[in-house]
Amino acid sequence: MGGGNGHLPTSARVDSSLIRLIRRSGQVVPWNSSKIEVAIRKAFLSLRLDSEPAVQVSDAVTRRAVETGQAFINIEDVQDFVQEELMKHGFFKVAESYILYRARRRVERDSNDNQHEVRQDSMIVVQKKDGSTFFWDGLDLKKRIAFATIGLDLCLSVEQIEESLRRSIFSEITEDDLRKTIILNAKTLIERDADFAKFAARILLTYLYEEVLNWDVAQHSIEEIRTFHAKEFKNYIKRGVEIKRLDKKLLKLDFNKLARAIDPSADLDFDYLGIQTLYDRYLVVDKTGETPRRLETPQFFWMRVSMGIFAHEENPEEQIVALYNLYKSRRFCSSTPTLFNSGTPHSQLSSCYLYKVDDTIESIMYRGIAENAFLSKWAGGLGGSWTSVRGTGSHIAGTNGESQGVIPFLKMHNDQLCAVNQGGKRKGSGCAYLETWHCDILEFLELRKNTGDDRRRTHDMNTANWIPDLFMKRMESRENWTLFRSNEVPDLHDLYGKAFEEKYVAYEARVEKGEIWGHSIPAIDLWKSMLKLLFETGHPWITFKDTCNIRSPQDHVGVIHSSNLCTEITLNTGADETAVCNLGSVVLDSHLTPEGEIDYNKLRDTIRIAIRALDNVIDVNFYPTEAAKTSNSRHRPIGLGVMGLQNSLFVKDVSFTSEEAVEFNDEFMEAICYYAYEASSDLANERGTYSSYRGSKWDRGILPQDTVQMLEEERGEKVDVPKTSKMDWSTVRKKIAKHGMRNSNVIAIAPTATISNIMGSSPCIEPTYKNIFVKSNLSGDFMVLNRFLVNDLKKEGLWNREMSDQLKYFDGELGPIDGVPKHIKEKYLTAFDVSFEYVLSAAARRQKWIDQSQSVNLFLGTPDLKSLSHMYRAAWRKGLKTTYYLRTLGASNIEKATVELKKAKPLADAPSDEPSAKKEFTDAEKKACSIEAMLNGEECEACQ
Amino acid sequence: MRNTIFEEDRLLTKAAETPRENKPRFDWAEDLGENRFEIPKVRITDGAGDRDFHIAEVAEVIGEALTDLMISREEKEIYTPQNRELVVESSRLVASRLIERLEQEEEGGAPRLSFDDLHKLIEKALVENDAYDVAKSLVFSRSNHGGGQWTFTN
Repeated sequence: MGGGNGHLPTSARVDSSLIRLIRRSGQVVPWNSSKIEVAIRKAFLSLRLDSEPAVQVSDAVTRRAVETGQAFINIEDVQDFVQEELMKHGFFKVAESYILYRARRRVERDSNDNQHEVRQDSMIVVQKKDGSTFFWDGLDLKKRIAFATIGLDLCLSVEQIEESLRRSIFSEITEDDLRKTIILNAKTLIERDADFAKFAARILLTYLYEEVLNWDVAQHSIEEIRTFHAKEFKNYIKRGVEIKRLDKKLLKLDFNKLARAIDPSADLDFDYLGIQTLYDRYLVVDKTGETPRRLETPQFFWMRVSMGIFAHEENPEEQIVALYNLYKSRRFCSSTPTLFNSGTPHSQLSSCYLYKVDDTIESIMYRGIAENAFLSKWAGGLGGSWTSVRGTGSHIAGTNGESQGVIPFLKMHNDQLCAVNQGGKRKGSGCAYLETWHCDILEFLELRKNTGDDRRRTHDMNTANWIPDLFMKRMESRENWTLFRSNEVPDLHDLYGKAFEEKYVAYEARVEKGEIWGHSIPAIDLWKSMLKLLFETGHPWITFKDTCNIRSPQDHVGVIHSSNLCTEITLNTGADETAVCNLGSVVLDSHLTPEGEIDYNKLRDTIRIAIRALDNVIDVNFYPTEAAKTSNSRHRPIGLGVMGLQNSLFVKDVSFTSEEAVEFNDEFMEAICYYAYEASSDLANERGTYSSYRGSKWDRGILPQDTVQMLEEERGEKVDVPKTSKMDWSTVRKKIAKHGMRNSNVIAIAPTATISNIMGSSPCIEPTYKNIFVKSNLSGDFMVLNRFLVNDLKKEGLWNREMSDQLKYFDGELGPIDGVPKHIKEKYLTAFDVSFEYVLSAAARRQKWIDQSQSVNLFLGTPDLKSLSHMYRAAWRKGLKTTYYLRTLGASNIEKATVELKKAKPLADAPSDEPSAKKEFTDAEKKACSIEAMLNGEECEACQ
Repeated sequence: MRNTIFEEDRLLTKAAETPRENKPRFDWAEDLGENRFEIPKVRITDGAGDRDFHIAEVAEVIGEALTDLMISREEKEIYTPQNRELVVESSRLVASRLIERLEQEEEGGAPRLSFDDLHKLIEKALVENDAYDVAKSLVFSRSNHGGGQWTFTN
């Protein structure tokens, strides 16, 4: 009975707190080293051996488990590790005994399994596609349920679940309908308990595995899913290349290395919304056969995206796996265009394009219409400045005629967006910006109205005001404002701050003298019109020109003439440059400790890989136009954003409407920016700076947080945001001074509705819209339930069927429900009950650190002109660069007008000439304004 | 033989899982005699904090493990002189190991010991007394009571 070598290395304890063990029963339990140690002890003692070495062997097993990098480990794998470690340590006899013991147990388990009888009444006749039939015994359903319930806390027993999933299954049902019915039944359970979202996701996953991997739930075990992934990975890439859906450069990579890293256990964390979104739209499909077939599982998908981004690097596999690990563990997500196209032959990975149209017919046609069509075709969102285009009544020297102004061209742009949809996948989307002094501004404000001359309306295009500080000041001091024809004030659009103010006043003097045309109106009247139309039509949005420009790191090489489609990008544009931005978002709630503190080391690790990936996108990207290519290779801007603020606050047990939440915004944004700027500087050390770096604010030692003071100086007013910081920035400053920056711009917070659905997180920096809502998509309707709320209610013993029904009845609002404790009601306030002061203060704290901007939606349940004005003036004073949609309950709930509204708020104070209740909205408008549409990602998907 | 281990383990698991009140109980500490309350200055750390430790507890723990083993083997005689001697011998060995530790510790406060450490000491003492099977029964009992959560009771 030989023992081992007796000389075991002292093993350092490893952190196994993140690993979870999947038992044979499907139950998931936290990793427990002492249980493994106990099992090993038994083996030693059975052979009459000293059990002391069990400690080291079990430590070695734990270390092996941690090194796999998997969140979930199957018990069988752990037992393999035990065997191998026993042998490695020289305990061959113990290992032998252990192996035989396992085999014996397996035999016993199998014999027990065979005793399960199939109930005769569960046999159903199912029709195959070819018309033949078979008896469906439901064993596969049992196995699907076993997989789907792994580690979940569900309020129903397995038998009850099976009964629910068998509902509406009838004899002679087709195979396809059987699948659909089971998935549908699983979806209907979602409203019963928070964990059913994961349950339903996994039911769908089993079908997806069968479709992609040829794994069969009835024949194969859950443990084999990993083996099937490893086996099928190479075939998937080859097939993808063969049918021209994947780039052939992927074939050069080391498949074995990559296949080893693929971890399907990460799929267990998907909820239904995430997996359904991937299934419907993101996974590559082979359409060459009779029926379309998905080529990708979620983990193949993440790996393909990572491969596309890193394939061109030297020894790319390590980087690919690093990015893949971020994706699979929900720490970072690239924007939708990158997820769609990375690793495919059409690698258009950029989200947004920004352009400027000049005051010539050539520029209007080439830049404004034709190039935008090319950009739109390749699935990019457009945002651009039309301010330079001369206004109505301006003289045209070439023809000696009068211009009809900018409006007809905007109508053309609108129609072009409809004509050229994005890669045939969705409608083109764009946003036109106009500066406040443009003489067509009043007509511009009305572009989205449903009344009036339809030839001067743009129902499909977004619009935004580009407002100089001088206008805000004149409005506040009730002074007049002068409108000009841009061809007569050609430099005004390029100026900002004090220089703009001086020139603007000088032009007003020329108007006085009759040298140029000008029209003076009370600034407050124009402001009121802006707000009134914004409330009525949802447009134009409010953005601030001077804040964008004064705080821009690239003020030495150009001017920011507009923001983009989602108002988070602020980049220079010009005659030869169309700005491009590649986006990705850190998942904030995945970077908190269980106590809700920021895990700084983890955050830094994530951001370093994310920044490298975003920088790579610039080089592997396909550019539809020369101007886009020129701009992007010169300045290399990227936009790292963040999602999951609301979820993080739930974890922290902090209400959105609290000073603590505002402070947290300051804290996490400082950390993200710190690590992002540092990572870009480190990349500059490795790869060189971007070519226009010299003279930039970075080069001048001015970081984004330093520019708040510059803004105050130019504006002549204090910016209402504390300038405090918590981190020691000297290291980053030194790095930038020494190595420069790889990217002209680094941070931008984009809306993330779709990708936050995939990640199971909350959209970017938004408060919760509703605690329960119905999600509609191609596969039907289903409930989305706030899982944090359910867990908190469970802790209070308040979660039951009645509570679920009440939540539904009150549209997910806790306010009217009796018996819910006050602190829970406060924690789960929804967007319209979160005071805008908190939303703006939080946004201001973030903006302090950000070098670009953020998509900040503003919510006002019952808007009146005074509140609107107060809100937008506060946004300006707090130093926000841009704002995005104005969400109001009137417009948001419009789609529900035909059904009984339980919580309709009055619109008595609406600043409208026409009673809003009678107002008719176009379908597109309803969608643009509705929360439901927002949740469905029906607005700017480019940024998501 | 392999199958024997498997069968033995199954019976041992069953015995360990049987509630205490359904098993015969004996005063295993009785034979400690004069030494019964000989207490090295050791404190046990459990979830609720520190407390003093009695050597009699060790005898109880070993005795219970031995009882489980005897039940699993369907032995009718459990409280035999031989078994009582094994319990006393092993308990004394644990006590002397503790005293050794005490001497190794720096002067000052009494050393603190976790349940896990104490279990390992007992297991080691049983192995030294060639009672591998009782040691294994102890491990079963320990795992059945949730590892570190297992508590000493009299």
